[in-house]
Amino acid sequence: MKNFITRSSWHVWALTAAVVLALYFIVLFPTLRLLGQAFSSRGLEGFTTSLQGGQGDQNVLLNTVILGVLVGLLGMIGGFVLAMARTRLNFRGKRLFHWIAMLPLISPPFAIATATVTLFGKRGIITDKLLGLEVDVYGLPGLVIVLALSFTPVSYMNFCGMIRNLDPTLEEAAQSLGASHIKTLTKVILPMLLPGFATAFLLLFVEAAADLANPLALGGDFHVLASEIYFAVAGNGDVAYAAGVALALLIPSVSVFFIQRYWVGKKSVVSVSGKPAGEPRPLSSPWIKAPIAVLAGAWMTLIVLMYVTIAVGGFASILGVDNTLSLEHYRFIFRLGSDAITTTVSMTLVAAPIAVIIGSLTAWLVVRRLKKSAGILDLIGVLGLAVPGTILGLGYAIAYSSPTWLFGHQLLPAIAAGGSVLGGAVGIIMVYVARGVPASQQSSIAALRQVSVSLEEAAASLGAGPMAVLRKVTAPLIAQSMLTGFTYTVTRSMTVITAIIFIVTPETKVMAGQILDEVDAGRFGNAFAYCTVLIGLVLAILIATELLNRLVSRRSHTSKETV
Amino acid sequence: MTIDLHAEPSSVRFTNITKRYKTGRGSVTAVEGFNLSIEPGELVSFLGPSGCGKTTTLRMVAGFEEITDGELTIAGRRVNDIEPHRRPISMVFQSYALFPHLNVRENVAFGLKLRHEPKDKIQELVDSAMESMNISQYAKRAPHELSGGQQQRVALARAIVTEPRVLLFDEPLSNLDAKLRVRMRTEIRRIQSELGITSIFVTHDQEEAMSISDRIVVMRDGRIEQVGNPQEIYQEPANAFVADFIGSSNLLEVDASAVELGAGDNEVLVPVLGTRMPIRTTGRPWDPSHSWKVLIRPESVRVRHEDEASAGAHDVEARVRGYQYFGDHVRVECEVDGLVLESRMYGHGHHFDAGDACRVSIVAEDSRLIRD
Ligand SMILES: Nc1ncnc2c1ncn2[C@@H]1O[C@H](COP(=O)(O)OP(=O)(O)OP(=O)(O)O)[C@@H](O)[C@H]1O
Ligand SMILES: [Mg+2]
Repeated sequence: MKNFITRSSWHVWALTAAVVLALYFIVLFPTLRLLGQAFSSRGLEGFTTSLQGGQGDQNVLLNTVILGVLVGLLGMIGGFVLAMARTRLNFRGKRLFHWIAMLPLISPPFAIATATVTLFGKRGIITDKLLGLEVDVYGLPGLVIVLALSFTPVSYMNFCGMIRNLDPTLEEAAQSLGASHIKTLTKVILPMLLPGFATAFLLLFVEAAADLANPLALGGDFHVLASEIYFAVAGNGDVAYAAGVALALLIPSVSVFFIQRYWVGKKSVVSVSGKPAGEPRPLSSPWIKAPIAVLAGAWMTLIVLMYVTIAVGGFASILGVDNTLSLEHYRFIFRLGSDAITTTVSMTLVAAPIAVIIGSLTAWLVVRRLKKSAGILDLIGVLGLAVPGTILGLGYAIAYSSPTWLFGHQLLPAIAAGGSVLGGAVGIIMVYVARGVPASQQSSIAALRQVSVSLEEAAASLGAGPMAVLRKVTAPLIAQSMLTGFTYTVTRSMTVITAIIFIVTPETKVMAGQILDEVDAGRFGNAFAYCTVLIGLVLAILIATELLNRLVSRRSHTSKETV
Repeated sequence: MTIDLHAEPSSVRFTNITKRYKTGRGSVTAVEGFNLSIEPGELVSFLGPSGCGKTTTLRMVAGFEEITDGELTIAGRRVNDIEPHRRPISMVFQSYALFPHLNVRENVAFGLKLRHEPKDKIQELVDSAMESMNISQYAKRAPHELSGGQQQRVALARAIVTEPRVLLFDEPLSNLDAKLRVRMRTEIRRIQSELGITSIFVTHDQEEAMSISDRIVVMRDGRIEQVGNPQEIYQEPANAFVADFIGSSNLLEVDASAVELGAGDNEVLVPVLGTRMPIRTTGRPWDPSHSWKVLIRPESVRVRHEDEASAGAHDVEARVRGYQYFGDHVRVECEVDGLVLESRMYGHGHHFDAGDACRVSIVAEDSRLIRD
């Protein structure tokens, strides 16, 4: 049956075409170009070499898998414990707890790595100065800890949502049937959270296996596929070979991502029963509370320690070696890095609204407009997140560092990497958008599914055309989820390095790139100062957005009352 | 039905039970001075308007809410400080609370498996519980693949299979449609009396309470207003609140100075419709210092057309204000001396139009003088 929702005007067709074209250029085209290189003979050589473990004497593929599995397990458990602590323990300062738990998400990748070296490295404050231990954090153990700390917020948020959705009467039902607290946990709570554990593990596996920044900073001799790609490009300029290696990483990452999204995600058993019944109740058994409190406390302490180190490190000459107060690092970054700061912020603020618009329009098309092709569009949209950053960045380098041609006409000039227009800023912004679209799209899809079609039909029956309905009814109703997409894109863009490492240029400095340079050069103090400023900026943007949101929603609330 | 009960049905006794919730600002008293003794095998309903403390009281029996004050005993044993999973109770929830990660059979077996009963015994008990609830054919289904009524059957099977001494129901039928509700309540009553499990049934549906209970506890604002069997609650309500909450009623003001003591026990002569009617008091004897009301159930009010022959009862002139037809009965609203009386008459042949002149009589024996 054709109702007004599926009946289309030319506006809608134009909009669809625009969205598809935008998605094509920001994700599909670079990915396809990368695949093209990967399937060249040199590319296939890289691919097969990687599958056999790489060129060196260590098995890079195995390393990557081990790293992914360990980080996946640790981060999964960490996220679960933190989420249980937040939702099921009674204590003061839950907001603060939440902010601290989320902190790694809004900080650049090297922040924790650098702090870890300073605290736990060979001459680390804790390991060497305090305990006199002989440890080397470079390599697998350090990487696992740093990556787990960095990505745990992802699993923490996932678990928070799931635990909140657990129907507390199910636990009461179990108890009334004779299940002790431990049994309730093992027979009811954990089984129902099983999809959550799977999701957390898979997401973290992909993040860790594809991460480039930390292996560069902390990997030492421990090589993974991502660093192989980097060395192939940066060391030998062998892009085709790198593309081949990238394929070896792309296949498992994308498969895991889609397994998680289309299979595990659908398996969720939480909240199928009648009506949700109230808040989660605090745990009462000390046998469960104590381990959670201890583990969560330890985790929190570690995070706080890291960030105190970062904050203090910017003001010390060389933290751990020469602890005298020094403003030298801040002087340095404001002298040489102010460019990077303004460029990063402006590119982010350009990218975020674009990502939100593309993401929510995609969501609208997927949920309301398209039928059979909805799944395909949805898939293309989330590709920007499914494709690991390193690989997307490499795809950009391949696709856009020279002009784009179509049927003998130059369609686009070079827009990424050195020598391109606007110093490569366009390419970087496009990467930001590509990484931001999926979040915006997913939250808008969720929101749109909640909004009854009858609201839009009501507007249409009152004489609003499809475009007017979209602007006047649909968009305001999903405003909140658009905001989520905005904040997500901002944090991602400000902190990302992996995805743009191949297309940053000397003309367009980004903060994360500057930090990498400082870490590489061993100037940790400067890196700490940069990290602090960057975290501060992200927080400032987030807080400003939140305040604006409150202001606007209060206004719209009062206007609703007067209607 | 082949489940044989090893556990004896138990009594439940509330002594001065009080529950106060701590809130942001001070505390809320949800239940106060609750005294009740439930006999073994009895089904008692808690009935009352929303927020009167029914759920809270029930959850104190289950152990999900701490008892602020007073003593609760099950089978003579104080259970105030016993954890929920150690109490000999089972609960049936409004939302069914079936475990979504287990299928129907595993749901029913849940409690038995926890006790590490032998496999074949579990098998046998689960089979017979599912059979008695008519859900054997759904054994392998997931809860969300069942209708609401089927889910509630599973929940009931799961609750009884562990042979609890006390069965608790919190509005178990309120998510079902009207027809199914009637069927399920009959079934709950059947199972309950077959097994003879002491049961507490929370509802705000008076018809439900009337139809399945041995006794009904009517509550208001955390206190008991009246305890009695359905007949007592309906025919001898303790006060105007109970009368008004149960069924519909005409409650007439009483001029205390015009009341005289009557001939019979607890009988007084009250001026109603221009005559002195002998009406019995409920609960307490007449005491002019209190405020009282005359309760006249609509089915005690007879309305006839002016020209119809009188049945001999005292009747007065009235005017029809409204008339509704329900098939098996009609509802007539008449105006008498500035009062509005509601009448309900069963059978056919009662037809009135608004504005008709009519005559109204009252069955005095079924009317009561009750405390306001
Ligand atoms: N956790 C709580 N904290 C504070 N007050 C509560 C809490 N739970 C219940 N109350 C209060 O206790 C009183 C009794 O609540 P209860 O849930 O027992 O009512 P009820 O009779 O079951 O009502 P309903 O028919 O609506 O289910 C209400 O006034 C309610 O607001
Ligand atoms: Mg209730």
